Amino acid sequence: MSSSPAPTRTTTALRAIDARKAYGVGPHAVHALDGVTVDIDRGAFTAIMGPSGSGKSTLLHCLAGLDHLTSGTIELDGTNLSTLDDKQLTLLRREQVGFIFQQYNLVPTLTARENITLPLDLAGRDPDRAWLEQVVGTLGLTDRLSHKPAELSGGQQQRVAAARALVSRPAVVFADEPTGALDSNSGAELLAFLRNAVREFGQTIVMVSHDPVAAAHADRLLFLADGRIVDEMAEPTAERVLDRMKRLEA
Amino acid sequence: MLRVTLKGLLAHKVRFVLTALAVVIGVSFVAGSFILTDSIDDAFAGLFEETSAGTDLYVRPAATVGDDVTQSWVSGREPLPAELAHTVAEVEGVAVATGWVEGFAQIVGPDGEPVGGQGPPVLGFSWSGSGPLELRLGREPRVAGEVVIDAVTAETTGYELGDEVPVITVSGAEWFLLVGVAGFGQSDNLLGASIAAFELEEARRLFDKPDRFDQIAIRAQPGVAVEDLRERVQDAVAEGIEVVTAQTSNEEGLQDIRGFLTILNSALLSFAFVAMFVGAFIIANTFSIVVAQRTREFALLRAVGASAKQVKRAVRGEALIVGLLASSIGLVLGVGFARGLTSLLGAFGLGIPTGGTILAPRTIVWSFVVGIGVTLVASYLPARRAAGVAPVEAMRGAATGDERGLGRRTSVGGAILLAGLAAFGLGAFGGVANAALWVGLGALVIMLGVATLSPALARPIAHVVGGLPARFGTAGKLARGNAARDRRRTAVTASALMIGLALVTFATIFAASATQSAAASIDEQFTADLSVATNQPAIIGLPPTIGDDLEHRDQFATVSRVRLSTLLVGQRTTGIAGVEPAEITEVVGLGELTGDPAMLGGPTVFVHRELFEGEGWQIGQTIPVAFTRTGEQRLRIIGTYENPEILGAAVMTSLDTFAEHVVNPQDSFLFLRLAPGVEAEEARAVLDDVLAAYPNVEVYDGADLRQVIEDGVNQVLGLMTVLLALAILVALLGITNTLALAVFERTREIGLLRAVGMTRRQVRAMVRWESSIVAVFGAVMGVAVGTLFGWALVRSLEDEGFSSLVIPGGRLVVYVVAAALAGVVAAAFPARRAAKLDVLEAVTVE
Repeated sequence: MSSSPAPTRTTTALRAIDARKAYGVGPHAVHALDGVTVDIDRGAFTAIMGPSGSGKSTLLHCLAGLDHLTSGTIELDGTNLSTLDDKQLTLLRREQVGFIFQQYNLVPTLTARENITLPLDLAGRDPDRAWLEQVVGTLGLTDRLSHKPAELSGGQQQRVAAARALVSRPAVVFADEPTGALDSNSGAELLAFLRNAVREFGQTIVMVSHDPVAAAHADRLLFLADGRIVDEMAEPTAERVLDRMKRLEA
Repeated sequence: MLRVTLKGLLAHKVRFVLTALAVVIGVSFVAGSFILTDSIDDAFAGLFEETSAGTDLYVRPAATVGDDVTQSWVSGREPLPAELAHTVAEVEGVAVATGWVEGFAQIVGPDGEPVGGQGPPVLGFSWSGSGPLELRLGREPRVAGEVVIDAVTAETTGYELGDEVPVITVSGAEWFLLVGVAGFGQSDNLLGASIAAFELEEARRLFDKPDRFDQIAIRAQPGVAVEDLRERVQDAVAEGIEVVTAQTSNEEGLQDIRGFLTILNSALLSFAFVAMFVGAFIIANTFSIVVAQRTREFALLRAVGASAKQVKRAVRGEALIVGLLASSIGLVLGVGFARGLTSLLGAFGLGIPTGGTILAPRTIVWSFVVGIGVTLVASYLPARRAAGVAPVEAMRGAATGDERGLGRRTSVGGAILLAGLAAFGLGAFGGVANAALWVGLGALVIMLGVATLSPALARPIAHVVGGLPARFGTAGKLARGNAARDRRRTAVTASALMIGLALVTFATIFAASATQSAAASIDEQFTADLSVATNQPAIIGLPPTIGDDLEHRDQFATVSRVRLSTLLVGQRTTGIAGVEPAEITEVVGLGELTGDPAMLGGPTVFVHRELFEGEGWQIGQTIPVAFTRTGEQRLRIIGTYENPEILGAAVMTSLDTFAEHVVNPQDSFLFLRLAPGVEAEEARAVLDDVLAAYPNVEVYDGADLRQVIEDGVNQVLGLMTVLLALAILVALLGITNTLALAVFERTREIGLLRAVGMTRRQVRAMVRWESSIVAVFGAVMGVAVGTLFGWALVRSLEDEGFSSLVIPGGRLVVYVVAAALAGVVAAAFPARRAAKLDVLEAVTVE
């Protein structure tokens, strides 16, 4: 999969072509994704916004290989996800994908450090020490590494999750409402860090959020409604996002 | 609230099936034990009735010393004079009086091996025509040299009418013409015993009862009251002869059987108790986990107005339904279980007869009382905890983990453990009455104490045991963390396994020590080079001609005879051995002696030291005893000996004195010493030659004897292990149950692990490792507790011949490893469930 060097290392990290996802069949089928086609650039911070039921979570799950499309194609770093079986998808998630969920991101029996290196441990790989230290240091977790999740604050827990997502240098990090359960200060800290990871390390990040302030940290913002991309915005600010949302809902 | 109860059960089918299974196994064990013993009882009652069909009274010698009603040929009751049959036939009201003789008759198969070996009785009768024997084929034996055998033996040996069949009796081995095959009433033989029947005079010759009858069966004339007739017949016979009704005779027979059945039933029930005890742990654990998981549900119920009492009742209701269903299923399975037990006992050489399946009302009552009772008791605390859930907890997130302190639990556990140790120690070393009860109770309380303390051990042990899997990778490391996560849950699950393994370990140590001690005492006491005896030395001896023959052979320096019988001393029946005074110390290690056995002769005896001291006798004292044949006698004690085991008797006298008082013309044992320069092989070749005509006679040396004892001990150990395996099975079900619940509880976490790259295989490995860690935790506690039991009991029995304490370390390690593997098997179902979880559903679950 990733063992063969990609000869044409394009600027596209992730691509959806006419992605469709339907629940049920026939006239009563619900179309969560109704023909999404989008290219997501390498080294960019892309946010997806949309009202409840717009299909933004489904899109994220499909892009990340957690869910299957009904039709269409997802290519992650040049790999067509629909050709992979469960084992291959698992290995892809381990090697090529990082996750930050809204909550319950960490395994309670493992220390912060063990949680961070979990994907590498599962692969039986040793972490790149310098890189690990850099990530941990940037996130301000250096003196928290031996703590169990229960001994960390909510913000710290999300930062540990972010460190885990970055430490294996995945092709794409997916963040699903990463600040949803945090207070505004912790949320801002985490978003600033994600922003930095894109800028300094060239990390590709895709984030789903319903918070205009969070979305404003992105390079590019996609608006989703009824399973389709209805609009997009480059270099968004919170005010412009709010404006656009009002218009979309109108 | 009934609906809440039912919904609760339906919503968690799997976990309640697993819980119920623990109860089902326990109840089917209880029901099976009762059904088995009731069925045996019924089979024997039917048999005795059949045996005495058409008979109203029996005339027989009155019971004397050490009598055993069912085995009168062993006891040496002096048989009745033959003319007595005519005397009683003359009594008014007697229709028919038929006498018979009976004795030991072992049929030898075509392969030269005696049928039955050391198993069921081998019976010989005179053919009386009116007895319970019914011809199936051929005809009755009419002259000397003819025999009728039972249908089962005919079938197993393949003998057919007209064949020459060798039969061993006290008169030796002879060939007989097979003229008929008989059944015992409706059955093909007498509950496993083989039967050979001869013509009356031939039987009298073979059993050495010339002009005698063992018993006379009387049928009354129609209309004659049996009790009146009994009195008239009793008046007509001499003193020392008794007349009993058929009913009395049958009841006596049943009484003997019932004594055995009571022991069997208690033994089986104690294993059932262990299985239920383990089951109670499993049930309690399942209910507490379920209550913990349903905290929000209970809080919601409370918030919408359910009272604490109603919540408690809902949980108890669930327990009641589980208990009720499981007991019903267990009762039904108990029937099959009884059959399984029968074949199990058979496989271990304890074949027992059964007829129909008897389901007594008591069996039904006990099954439900035990099944429902255990379930309700085990769910008592979880139900209270459910009722204690505050309505506000409905608003909080699910509380997991277990950070409640163990302080109080540890001190309570410590107190229980100390109480158990005290009771156990008192029973083992304190010399109290009912020592066994104290030991058993102490053992039970010790196990409860360790189970209570075990949560404190859960983390350290999980850490150490989990060290191995942690080395195998992340799945192992996660498993270690999971095992240490909820200390109570892990500890209770492991404790259930501890119980079974503690008992197996104890039995292993006890058996190894018993074997070793016996071997040591054989080495000390078996000082002859070789010994000769029949396969049933207590019943049939060796014709003296064997000894006569061997005495003339150059290969043997010493041929020393020992004869055995019983003797009444005070109220106690004990064994008496007739020995050759000049040779006995040469061939039997009697241990420490007072006096010189060579001085035996006339009315003098040597006595086992323990008996001597127990009775407070003095050397030179004359004691009153009673022999079977010559009645009360007085014997003078001229010495004591330490070791009675090889002789099998606590009193020893000279062969000449023995012969005066006992009707036993046969040698029980021959002890041989080889002449200088003679090899054992040469001697054995000579013996094979001499003994060729006696297929039931065996030659053995000290090593053979050790082997016999070892085999016997291992047989009992094997049987115990199989019976305890059920308790272990219940404990393994508990592991399955706990893990299945844990997997359910950790859905979100497993989803996360899968999302960040854990393969299904790694998920399965994680659950299996956790299971093995819990199993090894239980096994280690079990082996430790069992070793304590074994050590203490063996040491406490030091004076009873347990000279050696053997702790077979290798075997105990095997138990722990086996537990780890069993853990893997127990994890199969939850591991598959965990691996099958849909990643997306798992990460999006609330």
